[in-house]
Amino acid sequence: MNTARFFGWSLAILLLLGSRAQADKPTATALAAQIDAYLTARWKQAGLQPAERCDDATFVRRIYLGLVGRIPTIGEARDFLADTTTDKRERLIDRLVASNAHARHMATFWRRTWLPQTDTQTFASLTDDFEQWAAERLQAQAPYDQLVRELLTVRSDGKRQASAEASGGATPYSFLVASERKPENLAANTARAFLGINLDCAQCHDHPFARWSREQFWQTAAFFALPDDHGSGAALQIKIAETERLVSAAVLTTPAIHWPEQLQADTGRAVLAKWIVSPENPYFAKNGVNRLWSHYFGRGLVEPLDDLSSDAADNHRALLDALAQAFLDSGYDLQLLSRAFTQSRAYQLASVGSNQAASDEQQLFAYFATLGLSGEQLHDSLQVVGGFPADRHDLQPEVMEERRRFVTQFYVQRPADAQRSILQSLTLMNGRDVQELTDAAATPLLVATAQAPFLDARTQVETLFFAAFSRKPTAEEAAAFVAYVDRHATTPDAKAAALADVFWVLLNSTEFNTNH
Amino acid sequence: MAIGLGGGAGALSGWFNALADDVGKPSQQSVILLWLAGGASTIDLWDLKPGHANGGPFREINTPVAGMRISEHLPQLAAWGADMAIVRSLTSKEGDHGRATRFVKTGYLPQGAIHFPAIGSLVAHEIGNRELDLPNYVSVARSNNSLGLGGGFLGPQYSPLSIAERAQNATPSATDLKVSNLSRPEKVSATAQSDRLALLHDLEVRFAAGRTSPVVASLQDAHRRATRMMKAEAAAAFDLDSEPDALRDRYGRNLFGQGCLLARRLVERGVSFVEVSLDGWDTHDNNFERVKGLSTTLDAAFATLLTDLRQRGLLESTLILCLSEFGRTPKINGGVGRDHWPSSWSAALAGGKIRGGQVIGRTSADGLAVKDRPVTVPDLIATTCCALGIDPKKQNMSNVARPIRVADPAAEPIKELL
Repeated sequence: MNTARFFGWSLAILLLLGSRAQADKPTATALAAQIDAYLTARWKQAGLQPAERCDDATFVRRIYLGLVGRIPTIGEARDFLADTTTDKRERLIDRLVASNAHARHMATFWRRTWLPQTDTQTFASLTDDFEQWAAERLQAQAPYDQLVRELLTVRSDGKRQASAEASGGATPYSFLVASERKPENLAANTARAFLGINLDCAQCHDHPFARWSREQFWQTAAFFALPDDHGSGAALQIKIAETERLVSAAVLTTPAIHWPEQLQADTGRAVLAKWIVSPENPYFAKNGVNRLWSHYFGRGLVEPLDDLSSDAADNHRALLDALAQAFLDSGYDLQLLSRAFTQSRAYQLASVGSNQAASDEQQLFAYFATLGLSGEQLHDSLQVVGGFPADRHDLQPEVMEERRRFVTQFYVQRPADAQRSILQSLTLMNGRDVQELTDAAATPLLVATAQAPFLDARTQVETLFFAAFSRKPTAEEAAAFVAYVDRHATTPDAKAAALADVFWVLLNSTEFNTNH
Repeated sequence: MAIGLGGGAGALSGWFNALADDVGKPSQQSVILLWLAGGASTIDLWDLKPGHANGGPFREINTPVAGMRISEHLPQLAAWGADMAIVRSLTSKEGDHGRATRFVKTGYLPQGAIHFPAIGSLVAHEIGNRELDLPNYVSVARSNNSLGLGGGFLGPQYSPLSIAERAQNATPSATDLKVSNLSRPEKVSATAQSDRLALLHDLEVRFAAGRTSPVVASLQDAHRRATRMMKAEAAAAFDLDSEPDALRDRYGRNLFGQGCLLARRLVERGVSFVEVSLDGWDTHDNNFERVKGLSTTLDAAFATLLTDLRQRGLLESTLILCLSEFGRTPKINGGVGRDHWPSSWSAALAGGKIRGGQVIGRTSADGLAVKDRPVTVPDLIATTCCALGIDPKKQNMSNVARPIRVADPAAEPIKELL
């Protein structure tokens, strides 16, 4: 082999490896260490005593809710607690992140993040299709930039892309429908969902202190406009609403964009998508990291999530920048981020027991914020706690319809400041779902607990606590609940009814209704 | 984002402290807010422009008050002119449904991390009756633009009980004006119920210890308030079937009409703030046909409410506000519709301590501009406060550890109305 050819090959190989070379790809452990180092320094600087590391029982419940959207079964929690190896948390995280259930849970999260309007009645029917697409793509470990590109460039006729990278059956067509295919809605939705930029107010007028102008809003909207009859011209144009003024498509920041000579119906979205997911786009990677972080921790590194371009000072921009760079280096690996975040010390802190004023601690993630459960998390956890199968029944329409009804009723906007309404409380206390779950003769957990031979009241109460909280009752709790069951255990039926009372109490508790 | 909820530690320490919370003294004053969701075409209700191209086809009719002429489609309300005040010079800059709704319902423009409480929550906080088993703020048929509006930094205990909400049911009807699951299941005895609640209480106290969390506060507070509402006397407030058929007919057998009847029943029982929404005012096309229909619904319900309150001796203690997030363009668009218009619009007030029989302010002949006595949204909030005996300059501690006044400090109450 001559020298020139050798160098030619080397160069090709180097380019192939490129910025996404395996060697450069950060590991979850290294990223978690980076997060720990940053936050530890911030705690020290603020003179804060962070909470203790949470115990295993707390962890196993938290990680199941966070990664797969439901509490662990009795068996899953028991296995984890019985495991005496030191790396069991990391191994559980890896196993859960690789599961189908994680893909499904995150499909719901990204659907809610990207298309929040699908949580309203008007667009609720788009939910299933979109989540199906997202779950398939997440399960196939599609990189984040590719997901977003597929979404933005979905064919406007709803047909599947011919390319090999398209998913099995579903398409993200709902993205266009959820914005009623209107350029202005698509522009606002796109900027908010993928860049963390709130352009909505710029739609109607310039605000005196806003960073984005009305002109910029409509320039973004123009990408979603259709080309003129000849398909020619340098860029797409759109008329600013309630005016006669035409503006041409232009992007909010560098890098510059290039138009092909001939414009097709979907050209504008393709050009915009290329700019959005470009490594040089200053917001794309950061927005993805920030939103995923807020999924696990309850609040973003930079708040508000929809205003990434603000210059508020009290945020963790340095950490966000570093994580965004790592995200880029990893080839937009979402699973890597999920593993890194949940491995970090901050994620594994207790939700009680830190020494400082609440606002400082929460800003600095010095304890785990108690999060409200989403409707999906609450529904699926109620299934699990009753001893029903933990997997979903997507092929049974009536089961899914029940789930949808429940999820709508218990919808929360943001888990970190979830507001429980009086009506939701009443539903949980007196409604059909919990009534059925506390039927001593029908719910598998209650039947098994009440009818198992040789179980005394203490063991029965412990079983119910463990099913609901993944922990045993404290001595004080055990005393009160066991005394209650014993007092009512005049007949087997009366005892079963008393156990159902205990179960009702646990299901209505704040401990059950939160991730903590 | 603001995680902390205000009122200091008191608001966060859960249900067991909530009874001891420092709320204002009980009061007999109440407010009923008739909310015209979507931006009502007030130029076709309270401030018509007959003879001008912007006027449209509606005619004006007289009220007993000189200079107070209103739409021909509000004939029953016209008879109440002497008791009503119309503000024709409202002006704001917010033309987006979401932002404008927040502005009108809180008196503050959305800014940063501050969670401004809704005016209903402020009233409940300042003059609500804390002995009451019913929530002091009830919202009926809420539309999506109002979702999430509630106690804000005052805490979740001031958020509304929201019934027949559109987020749960896109087309609620009068039959949805009930509170589901208000009584315990038949299989559960009263003793079992109180045993369950006692066991739960101890569990809750232990879980809340050492936790400062708005989520925990909200869960425990909702549970406590739900339990109180389950008492039979409280639950009876929602029993519209106990009202005479003829009266129900007069209110209108529709969601809004029956919602107004429910509002009277709640106010009668001491609830301090009830809002009833009438949706459908976003008339970008076919404005006149739609506004005519909506006016008929509004006229029957509003006028019957006034009659009913007066007959029961409640009108002097019940302030009624008829408001929207903005008005609509005086210029009629190509689809015979009107678009969003916050520059010049109207509102109506009646009852309570409001001096009726007055028109405040004036718009130009084309309706495009306020010509006399401009009134801002905060002015209206301050007026409401003064009519209820609430000091609009009173400060409450917010979630960003900065005191916030009940009404914007720049607000001037409309003194002619007081």
